[in-house]
Amino acid sequence: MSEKQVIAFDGVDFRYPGVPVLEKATFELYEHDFVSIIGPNGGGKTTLARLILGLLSPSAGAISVFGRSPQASRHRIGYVPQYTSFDPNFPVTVREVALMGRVAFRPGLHRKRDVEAADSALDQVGLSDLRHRPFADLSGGQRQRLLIARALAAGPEILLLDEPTANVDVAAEHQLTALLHRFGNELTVLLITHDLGFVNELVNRVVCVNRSVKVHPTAAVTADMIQELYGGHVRRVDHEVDLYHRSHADGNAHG
Amino acid sequence: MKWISITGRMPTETRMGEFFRALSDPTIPFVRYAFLAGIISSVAFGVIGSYVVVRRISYIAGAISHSVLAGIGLSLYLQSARGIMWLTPMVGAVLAAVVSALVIGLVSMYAKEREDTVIGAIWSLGMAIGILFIARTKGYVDPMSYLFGNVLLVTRNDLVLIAVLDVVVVTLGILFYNQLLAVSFDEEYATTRGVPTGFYYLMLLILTALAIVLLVTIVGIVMVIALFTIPAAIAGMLARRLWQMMILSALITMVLASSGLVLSYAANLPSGSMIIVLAGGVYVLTAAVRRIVIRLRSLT
Repeated sequence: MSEKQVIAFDGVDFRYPGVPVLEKATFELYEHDFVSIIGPNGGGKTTLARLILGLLSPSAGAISVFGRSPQASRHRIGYVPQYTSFDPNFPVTVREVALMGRVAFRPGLHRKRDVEAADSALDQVGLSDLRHRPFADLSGGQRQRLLIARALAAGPEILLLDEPTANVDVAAEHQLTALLHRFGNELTVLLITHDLGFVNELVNRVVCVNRSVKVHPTAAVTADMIQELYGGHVRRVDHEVDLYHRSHADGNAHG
Repeated sequence: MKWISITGRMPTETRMGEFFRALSDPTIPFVRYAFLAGIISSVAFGVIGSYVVVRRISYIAGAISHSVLAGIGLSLYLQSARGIMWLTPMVGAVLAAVVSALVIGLVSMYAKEREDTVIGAIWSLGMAIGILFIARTKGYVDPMSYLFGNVLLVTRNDLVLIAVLDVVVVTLGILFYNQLLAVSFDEEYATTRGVPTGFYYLMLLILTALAIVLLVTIVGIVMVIALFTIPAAIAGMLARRLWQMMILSALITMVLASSGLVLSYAANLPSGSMIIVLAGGVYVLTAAVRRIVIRLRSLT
């Protein structure tokens, strides 16, 4: 990996009063990395994402995104939250949600190129035909793809997805995986997941978050590491550990 | 308690006709004023009420409307005790509403206090302050008029103020439509796009405050929240997009406010309560009809 560094954490601590969430996180991520951010629930994955987006500030240490502060760079990140946190009856159409990727401080109506960007993003996620439908009419998987379209409409360099496959059915999960395959070549992708099966052949770097943050190239992910990360729950993830071994084999074959 | 008793004991149909004659009668201008106030302010109610409903901040609107009594009480007191005549109850109401909107907004953005506690405190504190000032005001002031509305209190100057506020509220509501839509739908995402969400939150609260004041005189502090949210909720059941919801909600408010006035005049009953009962009835009816339609569609 000789690419440009895009995200750098240097000794980052984050704590809510009395509750440490992240400690001494130091790592770097590079352009066109496909990063899987894994760890147990409550381990700090979402906090890590919010720090990268500048929605939270570190208690100690420094974060740089594209060499600047997270706040200054966050417009270059396309953030994809979980669809379940939305009011399903919100009176808004599919295209209007995609257009929110183009919203900025500037008041007034959307320009033509904003509409074009939104429509092209909807096309990329396969929702063009539904663009005039209400948000309420979409299935869970479609809503999740719409949120990806909203992020893409902004023309991001990093795509940051928070558990995109949680709460969607298997078919929708396959569609999302296929989508990510496509973006993996053009964008830096950061994928938060507790679904270890999602750590597949796309991923070249795994960030393990459980108060501490450790970064491994996929090839280095071992059963020991998973055990360390998940502690007592390791028996439940035995099956996924097999998957790691398979992807390691792939990684080695390519490397 | 006497509300509007000009029509006495005429049959109801005759009194309805009487209402429309009263609209053009120069000796009883308040009928016309109340009618116009309802029509003009319904536009602001449709626009801001829809934002409030989709953003789910009706309870904040409730606190703001109740805190208005502090401003009304203060202005009545200062008018009678200090002769500050420009400080009409309407101006006092605007000031109190904006101040409490700012306090609630800033507290929820920056302070660590529980937001709902602060909202509850402002809700009652506003009323308490208002009642204390009214108690100290010379001459007889009936707080009931402010709490439950009284069309007799609408003056020509109020109409001008309502029209001005209407223009301000609607202009800002439309100019920042995309931002307010994005912030209402997903505040966190809007922040990552560089939208100053705190600014838009405060703006929405202030617009809410201004809109509430528009109709407080007619429907009263206690009930204005219903006229603010019920038409928007009805519209929300029918509209697919936020701007459709706003237009529909404005039309519904217009129809409800004016027909409520006509009915209250005809039946010689308090106008505010009449309007609100009418609104509640239409809401229940719409919800029921919608359910039946959805049921029938799923059968075919």
